[in-house]
Amino acid sequence: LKLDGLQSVSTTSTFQKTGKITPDEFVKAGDFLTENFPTWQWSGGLPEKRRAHLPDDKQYIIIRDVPCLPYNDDNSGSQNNEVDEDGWTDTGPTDATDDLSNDVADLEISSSNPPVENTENNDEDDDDIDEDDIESLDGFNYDEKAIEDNDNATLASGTNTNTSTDAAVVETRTYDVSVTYDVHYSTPRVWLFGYDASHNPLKEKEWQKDFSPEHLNKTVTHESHPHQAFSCPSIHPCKHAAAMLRMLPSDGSIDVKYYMLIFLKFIQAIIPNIEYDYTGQFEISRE
Amino acid sequence: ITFAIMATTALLQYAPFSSAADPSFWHALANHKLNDLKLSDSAIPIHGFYTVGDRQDVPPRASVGTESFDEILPANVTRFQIHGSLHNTNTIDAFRKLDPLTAVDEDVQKLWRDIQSGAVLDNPSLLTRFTLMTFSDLKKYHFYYWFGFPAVGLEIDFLATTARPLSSVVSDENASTLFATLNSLCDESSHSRHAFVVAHTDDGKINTAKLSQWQPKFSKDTSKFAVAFADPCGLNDNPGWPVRNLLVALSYHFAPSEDIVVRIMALRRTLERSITFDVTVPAMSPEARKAAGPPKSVKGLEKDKKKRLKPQKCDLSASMDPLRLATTAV
Repeated sequence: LKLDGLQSVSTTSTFQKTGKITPDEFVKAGDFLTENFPTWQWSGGLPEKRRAHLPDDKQYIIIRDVPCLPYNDDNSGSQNNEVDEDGWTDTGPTDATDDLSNDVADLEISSSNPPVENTENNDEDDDDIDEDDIESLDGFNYDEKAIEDNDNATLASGTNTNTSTDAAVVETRTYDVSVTYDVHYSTPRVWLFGYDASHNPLKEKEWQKDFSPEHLNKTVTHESHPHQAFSCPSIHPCKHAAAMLRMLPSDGSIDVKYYMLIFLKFIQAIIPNIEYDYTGQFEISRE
Repeated sequence: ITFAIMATTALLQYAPFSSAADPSFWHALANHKLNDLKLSDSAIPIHGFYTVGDRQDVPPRASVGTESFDEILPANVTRFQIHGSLHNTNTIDAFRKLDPLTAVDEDVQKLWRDIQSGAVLDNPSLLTRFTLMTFSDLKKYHFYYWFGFPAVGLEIDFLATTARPLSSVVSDENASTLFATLNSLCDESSHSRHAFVVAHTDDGKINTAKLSQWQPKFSKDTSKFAVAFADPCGLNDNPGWPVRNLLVALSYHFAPSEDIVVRIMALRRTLERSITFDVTVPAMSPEARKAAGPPKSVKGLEKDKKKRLKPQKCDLSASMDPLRLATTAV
């Protein structure tokens, strides 16, 4: 079922007044982003999920394998938030989305976020995963001596290495960040697929730690990707247009091609620990 | 009196690739198996890619995605194509019985033949190969996999000087020439941007060319020629895996009788992150040159997260299972 089919897609440019963009403007802003920052790429996605209002090869934009710094790791456990029966953390009366539109102008939402309260500590989580792996890969017995390289020229890497120099790679989580066009809200929408240091998909318990509890389950929800066969966390776009309107100059002096750069700047405020933004040094010229 | 300043040299160590499959790859594999491969378990060629290194805290990644099954990998300036062979099995038992040595060895032989024929000088993307063994449990959305990144070697290891920032040996102007070649996607040179010759001209500038285009006279003097390559590694002291087979190719083609010293320029995202070092490339013996296989080979099988030589499992049941999708979708 494609609800998009029933929805009329706006073709009139209103972004200066509403913060919303048309599919054509999405393509224009996406072209500008991908041309200037080629780590962002257009993707066609799955053919069966293609939307007619976008070109076949420009259905959404993706940047892969973006490092994610631990979210507020240093403060962990300093807050006593209530955890409901599903393991979600409730931080009380704060309305995250209101916060967002109030603070988005100075982009400082992240710094004051309370940390995620974990019901289990990290070590226990890791043990769960390992036991799972051992069980499922039981029966995989290889003659390690025969397949081991004993090769001095291979640099030992990873967190368990004893190398004392900076050769020891400190491995980090990464995310694939994709930006789709949301027909209902007429704005871009962000999807995040996370991996651990071995590039295995993060489990729900794990990726939840990368978002502030204020945003989890409100601004950030787990949903089916519109152009792929998987589901993943997404930043709900209901307040995107309003927030974008606040960030756009009010004198109508900006070209819509810059929309995506500004949008990504705004999204960075919600997910400050996912370092996708290479747009920092870019200067937006007014017309 | 002239004093020969002997720079300290040490065993050159390469940062191995860490594999990166995204969920779209597993979806494409499942489709491919149902529609094209069916029950065939013979190896098929696939593509992968890497991007140049940028950070110390992210390992060099060899990535596969939905495009890996395309006949031609779509051109993208940030991606450097690599070549793989996929060994997909139909049962968990067949996967268990698959001999990783046999699978990887096919790619070692391909590498060696491409070095011998000179194909790697025309198309240096052939220097990086991977072997991928898979089994998909489509009922559970569990994907079992094992990557190998084979390498060929000489009887003796390569010695290199301590790596320094590339900016210490090239001017900004020359660096922009290097990066222009690295980032050029024009037709026939689109593969030579993986690795190319750098020649210093008399007026202090540089030119770049395909490895096969010139016959650079490498000697022990590094002031005339250098070799630059697209380096997936972001470490200050070490290069990534692709330079490993490149050095063997240099030995094979450019060091017929005596050892040479080659200045290697490991190009990364920025000049600031890029490094350079001088490698002593031993001459290859005529016997080794003619041999059916390389003097030495490295299987480069990827270790799991506990550093064991075992396959890994990717569990996508939480994000791919349609039943679960239905209950979580808002």
